[in-house]
Amino acid sequence: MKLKLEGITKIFPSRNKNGKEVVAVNDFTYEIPDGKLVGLLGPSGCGKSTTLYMICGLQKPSSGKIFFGDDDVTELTPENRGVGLVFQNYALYPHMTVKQNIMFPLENLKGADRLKKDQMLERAYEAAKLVQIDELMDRKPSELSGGQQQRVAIARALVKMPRVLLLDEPLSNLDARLRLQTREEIKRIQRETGITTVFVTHDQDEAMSISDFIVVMKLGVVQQIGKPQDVYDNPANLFVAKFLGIPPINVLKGVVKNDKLYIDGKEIKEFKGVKDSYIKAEAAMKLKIADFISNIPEELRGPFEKAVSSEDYNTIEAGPYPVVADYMRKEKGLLEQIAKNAFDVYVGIRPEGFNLNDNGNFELALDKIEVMGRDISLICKNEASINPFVRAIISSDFKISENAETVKFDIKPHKLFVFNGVTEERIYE
Amino acid sequence: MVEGKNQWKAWIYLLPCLILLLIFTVWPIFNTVRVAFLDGYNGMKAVGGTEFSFGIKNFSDVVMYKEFGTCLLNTILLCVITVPVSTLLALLIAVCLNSIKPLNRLLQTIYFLPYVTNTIAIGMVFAAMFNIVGTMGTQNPIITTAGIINNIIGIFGVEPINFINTGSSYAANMAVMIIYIVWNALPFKILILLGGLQSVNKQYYDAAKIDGTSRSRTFWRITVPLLSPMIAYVVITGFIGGFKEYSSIIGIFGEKLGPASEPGRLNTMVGYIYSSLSLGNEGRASAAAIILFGIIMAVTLVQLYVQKKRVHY
Repeated sequence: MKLKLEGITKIFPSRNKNGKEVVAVNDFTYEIPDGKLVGLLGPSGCGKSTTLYMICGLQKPSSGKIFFGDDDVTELTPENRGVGLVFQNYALYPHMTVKQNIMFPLENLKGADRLKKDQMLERAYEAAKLVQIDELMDRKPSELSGGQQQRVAIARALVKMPRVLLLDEPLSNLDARLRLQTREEIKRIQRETGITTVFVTHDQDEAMSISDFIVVMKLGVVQQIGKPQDVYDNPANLFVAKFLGIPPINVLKGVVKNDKLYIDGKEIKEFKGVKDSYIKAEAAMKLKIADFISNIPEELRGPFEKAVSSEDYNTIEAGPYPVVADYMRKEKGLLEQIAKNAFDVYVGIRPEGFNLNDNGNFELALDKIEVMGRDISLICKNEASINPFVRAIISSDFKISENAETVKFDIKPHKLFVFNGVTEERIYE
Repeated sequence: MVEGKNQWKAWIYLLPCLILLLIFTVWPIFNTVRVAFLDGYNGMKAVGGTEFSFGIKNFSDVVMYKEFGTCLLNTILLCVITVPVSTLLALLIAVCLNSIKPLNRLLQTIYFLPYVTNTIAIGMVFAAMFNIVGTMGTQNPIITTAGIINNIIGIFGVEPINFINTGSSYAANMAVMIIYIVWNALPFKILILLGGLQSVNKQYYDAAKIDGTSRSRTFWRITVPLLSPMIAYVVITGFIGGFKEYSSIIGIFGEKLGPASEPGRLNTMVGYIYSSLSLGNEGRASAAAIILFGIIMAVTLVQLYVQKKRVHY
């Protein structure tokens, strides 16, 4: 069953009169192919759980449509959607045994779907076997370990053969070792059942390791969708680059002048196309502001337009659409840099993107060396770095003298990303 | 823990409370048991120097006394009917209150009002409501129905019912008592159950919703079991309170403890103990108190046993 989200948006009204409404999910469009495991990934408050709850029907989207296969389920209540949901804290009924918990969804079926008692039992045992808890059927949830409870919750979600399986932070309540085990388990169960599965996590490791596709979200807006490796290798913007990867990516300030990239005043490499991308970004930003204004109710538009044209940021920020001031500042910043013909950019370099080379053109002051067995981390300092340190991971075959003051590197070209210094969008060469 | 040589300090801090407890709780309990086993004990005579022999005559007196049966029956009837009814009603009201968002606080306060209102005052209001005869300020000898209940059922063409006045039936008296006691018992139970409901994790209901659980099934299979510890608490305290029912009878029927034609018809165990005391029969009162204690104890033990089997987690 493929799962299609068409521009779903969720707006939570403000709590009090003067408060601002919260856009938890903004215009999310995506089609999840049949039988795939998709991870919604993002920091807390990014709208990933809200998206999940909208898919299962516990929350209604403010606009947009949700399709299971070809059925529009947007207006359906949760029980009529045929979804299985595994809650973050499992929500197993504490007064029922494992068996009763798993059978509970089946006992709710009515009419033609209603099974005979022994059929229910059979289905329950089938589901229990799948998650390997068939020997614990007569225990109460409180007598189970966290991992076992997790399996019971999955079995309960699977027993009614849902069209879509949803997991809310499925591993967050487990200890580190169990987490590794369970995520393999989830992948296995998903493969065996072939049920289209969506899960939510803030742990990129978890998402990368088991998802067929990941969706990276930030403040309700989808940042990037793709296969985990593709997203890692080709982040669409600075946020995605920073969010994925352990240890995190090194971010340095750089300048592009005459198609050459400089970090800390030193030329690193040739990098073309920056100017064009800035011009495009500026045009896009202009369009965004105009588009925003045209969507504002007419009675508010006049004064708003006036504030925009006179660059009266204070008025805009005090008004109902403060975000426009942010857009305008960005546009102005872009214009300034285009005029200067020197572009401030962020340069992201993955820690594994460094090659030791005595003739390399990237020199860093060595602070300390962390030995991790398989490889070593060189903790370096650089004025241009946004993070306190620049971390370079190299094979432990290389021997570095503890006394070395500086190290020289070549940077692997596919591990270096350049981002617009204003919009933080990726600039492709 | 307090160091060994400093323990006397701890005792000194506890002393005021311990002395009061000894005088007003421990000694009276002990003395009640002692007096109960002194045949025909009477306080005045005891002061006069009379010696009483040890025996169980007080108990046999209590049991033989014809009023005792009435009192026991009334007490048990009131308990057995009002506790389940009020618990069930309280549960329903608590669930409703919990699902209402606007005016939630106001409604909670309104439902809690009977708890802070004087029992006797409420009883008098109930007596007025269930009245059949009222002179309505005139000297008219003709009976007029002044009670609001009789007026209301009169609208539907039902003949006025004699609930509590002279010549009323035992069933009618009991009905009024039951309504009154249930109403009076609701606030506390609602408070406890509402507290319980609010601490139930909302995710259980989300889970139930996703599994397509019907409302009634959600109530019986999820809400009630999850609330079972609170329900057990409310039932046990309800029975203990119910066995001590007395002031409510006074509130409605006055000191006659029944309609004018049948004084004492609605007397209860506590009423029996009280009247024995006022007649100077401390021995018999003590024996009756011990019998009541035994009954409450037995019922509570049975409930605790049931609770172990039925109350979940």
